Amino acid sequence: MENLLENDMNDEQLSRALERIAEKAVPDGSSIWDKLETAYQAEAKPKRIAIRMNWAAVFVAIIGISLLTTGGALAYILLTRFPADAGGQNVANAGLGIAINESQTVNGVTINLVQAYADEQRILLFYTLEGVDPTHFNHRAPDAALSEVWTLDGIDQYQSIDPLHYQYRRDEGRVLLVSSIRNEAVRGENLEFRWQLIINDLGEVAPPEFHFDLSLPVVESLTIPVKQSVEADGLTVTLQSIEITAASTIVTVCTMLPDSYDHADFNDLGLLIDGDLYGYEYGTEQNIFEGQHYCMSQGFNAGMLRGTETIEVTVSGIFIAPTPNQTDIDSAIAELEAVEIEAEIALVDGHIEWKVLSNAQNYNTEVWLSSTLYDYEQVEINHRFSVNLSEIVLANR
Amino acid sequence: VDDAIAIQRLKNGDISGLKALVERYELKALRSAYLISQDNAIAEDSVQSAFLRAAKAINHFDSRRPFQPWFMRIVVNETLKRVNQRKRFVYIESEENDPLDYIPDDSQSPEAIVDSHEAEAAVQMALQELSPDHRAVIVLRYYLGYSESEIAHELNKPLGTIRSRLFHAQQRLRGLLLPLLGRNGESFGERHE
Repeated sequence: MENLLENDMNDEQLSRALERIAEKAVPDGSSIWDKLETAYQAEAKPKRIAIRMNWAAVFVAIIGISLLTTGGALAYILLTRFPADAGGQNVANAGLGIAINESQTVNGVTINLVQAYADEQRILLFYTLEGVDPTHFNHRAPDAALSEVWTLDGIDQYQSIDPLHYQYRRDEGRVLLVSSIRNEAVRGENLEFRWQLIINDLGEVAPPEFHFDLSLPVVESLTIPVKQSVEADGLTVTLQSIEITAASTIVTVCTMLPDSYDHADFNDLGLLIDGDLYGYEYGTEQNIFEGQHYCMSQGFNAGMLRGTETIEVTVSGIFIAPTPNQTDIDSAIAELEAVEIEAEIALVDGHIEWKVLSNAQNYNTEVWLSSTLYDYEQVEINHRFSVNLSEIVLANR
Repeated sequence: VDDAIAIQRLKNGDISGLKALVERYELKALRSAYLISQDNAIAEDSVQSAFLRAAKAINHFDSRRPFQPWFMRIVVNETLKRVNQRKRFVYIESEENDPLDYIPDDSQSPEAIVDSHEAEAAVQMALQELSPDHRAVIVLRYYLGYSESEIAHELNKPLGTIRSRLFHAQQRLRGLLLPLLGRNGESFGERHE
């Protein structure tokens, strides 16, 4: 176990100190069972729900219902805020979606697919659900209650939906959700795909399933070749390019690794559009290694509309790792076996190549492989790249 | 009753399954939640809520997987949610750090007792100064003993983010601990060959 405090306090001492602190605060014999049992039984009983009227919400709901009866389901999209999805908000506000308005009803649940949008980075679907309350769903459960399957280029991609990612309006049991998937493989004028939604709130044997076969025009990305560089601790870090649409932005940052280093991982990339900071969605990063040249492309669910002036990219640091030797490889294989991942790892021309043979627990193998194989060193960068769009975009048009 | 039987009972609506899981995991959960929140009331509330959430979602839990990491992830998230809702720091009453409260372990040497007591008091004070997110990664790493990749997997965050958060938490903890321990150490959280 590595030392955290050199000669002052090592990992084991820190662990022991934490154990003693926790044991003093929560002594043996502490129990929450009595309270928990009462709460559990209360939740299990059917109950009447007291509703406190929020007059502002009622007013908005009345407007919403009026618009719905007169202006169709599109009113839902116009009235909805998506604070966790600035790209989705752009698409909704600017009316960039294609009207679909197709409904299906299964086992008392009705879905109305209102609008769909596709660009070279993302696909977005705006839909309403009736007869189900998405707040019950737990996207962190291993078998997510509300899940979707996107079939793109003949490949099924499964996702769980976190309803909390999207702020939805609710009136009379109807909610609006937006589903999205990154669409990096698709380049072309038109996109044909299938989308399925599976609702499995209470572990039903045959949960309601819906599927739509869609064909959408694909909006092109605008690629801005930036090529700004900064030096940090002997490394040159370059903001290579920014690819941007209304719904999404992909930022590509590169560096040249020192000889005998084989792996790297940029951390905490940030994106600011006209000063507003956006985080990235889990699973949207792509690492590319070509010899010593390393790039990370990071997707953000925030995009650009006409009038955007500046885009900034913050890079806080990078972890770099020396090429592992055979002992490191053997040790990593043993660690992976302990979590039921079977992998082949080999050193080819000074670089590691790996192949996952089996993954019984469905772990994120990229995470496990890189963390067991490599001994990372942190390089602080703490730099903000700034791109003036009014100059660059005009120059490229 | 082992976990698999307890989980199956709970899936069948049998409350004895929940009771067995509570008996097995509540202390670890309460202690983890306390270390993150620094507040017994929040810890109790978070763990109670975590058990209720787990019971509700148990039909979606894959029984082939170990229960503890899945459940502790819920505990950490519930605790962070409550701490962040408070939007303020929670301070521990001063008697928590009173040396007279310390009960020495007979198996330790007098020097080790002094050292461990000193370390405990310093860690306790330093923890209170860390942000809840930093406390959470410290607890996951050093109290629950998870690896970086396990933390990334359990918190559903990229490994780089977890490493960065752990690195900064370690740096901050070191900065807080050194003056409390009255020593001039080398880099806390540095990676060593």
